[in-house]
Amino acid sequence: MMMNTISISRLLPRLIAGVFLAGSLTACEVEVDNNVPGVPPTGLFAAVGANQHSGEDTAQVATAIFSEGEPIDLVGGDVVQASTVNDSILLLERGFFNGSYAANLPISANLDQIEFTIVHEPIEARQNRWYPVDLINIDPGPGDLVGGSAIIELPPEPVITTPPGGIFTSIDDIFDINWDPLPAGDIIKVRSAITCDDGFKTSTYGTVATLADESDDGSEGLSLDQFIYDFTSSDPQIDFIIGEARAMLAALLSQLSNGVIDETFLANIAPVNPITSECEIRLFLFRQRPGSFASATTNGTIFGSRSAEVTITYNPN
Amino acid sequence: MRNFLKIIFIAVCLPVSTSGYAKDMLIDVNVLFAVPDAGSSDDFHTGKTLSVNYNYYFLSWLAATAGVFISEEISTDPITDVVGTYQATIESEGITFGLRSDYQFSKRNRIYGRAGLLLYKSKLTVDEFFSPGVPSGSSSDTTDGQGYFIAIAWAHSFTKRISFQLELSNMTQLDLFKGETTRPFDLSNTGVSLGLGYAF
Repeated sequence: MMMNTISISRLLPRLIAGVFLAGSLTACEVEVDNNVPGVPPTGLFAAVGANQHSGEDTAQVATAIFSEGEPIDLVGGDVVQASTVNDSILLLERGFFNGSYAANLPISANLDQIEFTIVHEPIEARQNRWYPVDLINIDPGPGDLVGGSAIIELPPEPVITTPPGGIFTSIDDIFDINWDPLPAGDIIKVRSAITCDDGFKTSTYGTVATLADESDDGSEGLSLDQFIYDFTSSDPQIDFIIGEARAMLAALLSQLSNGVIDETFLANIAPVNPITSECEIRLFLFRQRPGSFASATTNGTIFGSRSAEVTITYNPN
Repeated sequence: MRNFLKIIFIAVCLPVSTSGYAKDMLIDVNVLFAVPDAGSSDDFHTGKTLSVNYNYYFLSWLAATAGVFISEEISTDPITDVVGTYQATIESEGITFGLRSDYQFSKRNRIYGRAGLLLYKSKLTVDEFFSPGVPSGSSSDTTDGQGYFIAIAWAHSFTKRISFQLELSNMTQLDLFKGETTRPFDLSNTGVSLGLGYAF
């Protein structure tokens, strides 16, 4: 009883400060949008991405096209088709970043190249409707964007060698993440999905690790304070995952959990203070390779990636 | 099959129409309130179907029944997908024939059931809208075929000749557009109908 009283009296000011600061963090500093960064306010812009995670037999593919800064709806049977030499799929679902269309494309072993083409398929594009679309169909004809294409090459999966997992007790701890390097000029990204539990409540959020360099050299030094923070601090040194990267990580988490984890996972930030809680840190290592648009005049971002995951634990107690 | 059913319909109707036997016949007019269901995410609104039935009692509890039905245009909610926003409308008409069995449990009240086959002709129209600058459009097609109906009901006699009837009813059209599409579908109308009967 005495211990409880002391604990509460000590914790109360922290709790009030924590709630206050967490509120200011979520309101001011943590963006939770899924916007593609760098979309210009004028002209056409395309965002194309594909990622295959370790052990998955499909790649998540998505694309969005913007005009004058706003996403374009492909309508009337115009649709993006993603294909390998063995499989193809129409991107008929709304995708993980704003304005995008997405699908899971089967990827057979050792197939790396994915071609994206805007096609006009007035019947196939309506395949999810209930009535006979092959008989009753309103076809306005192909739009101006039909014929546009792009190619992505998925780089090899980054095989993580260390850490195989570990337990860390301080946010000042540092560790190296190592993988088999590849001298192909690919870039490396490290993103995390974190679950912190204080025994009563749970926070879930995502971060982007700031790397010394993004080269595919097989090693990167990381510190726990890129993933775990003190929400009573007025200046937490942490980069919450935002924008297109956040949307892609959310989609990957959803795929790996068969839909159990949704987009809210990366935005449930405030309930507990990570620095005093036990946290599971899922580190995702992405090897990313730029793709190319068929037309040299097309402006946009295009990349393919393969990813792998390793989990570490933070336990301050 | 369809011609065969028409012959049955005529065979039922002819002896009934040539008979002028009072109290053995009943004409009823019903309005069915039902939500069409095409077996998928169609989201039809509730629609009304008017039917007129001619019942000939060749036993005190059993009648041959034949009728006609016509529905209003029944639309779905507008549905938006990656292609556009579309709204479907269906309207049907047809004939029915079958049996009706009554059980009178009080002086003014009875329950009855009806079941039989139907022939339908249905028209499906789809209106579709796209983004600004892309012309919208409409497309429709007509199909015919067979189906079945079944109903259980309660009837209350106001007078010796006039009665009110309340039915739980299902009319199902089978295989719409079969032979014309790779995706034929069934259309079921399940709901409540209100009607009046006139015995003579």
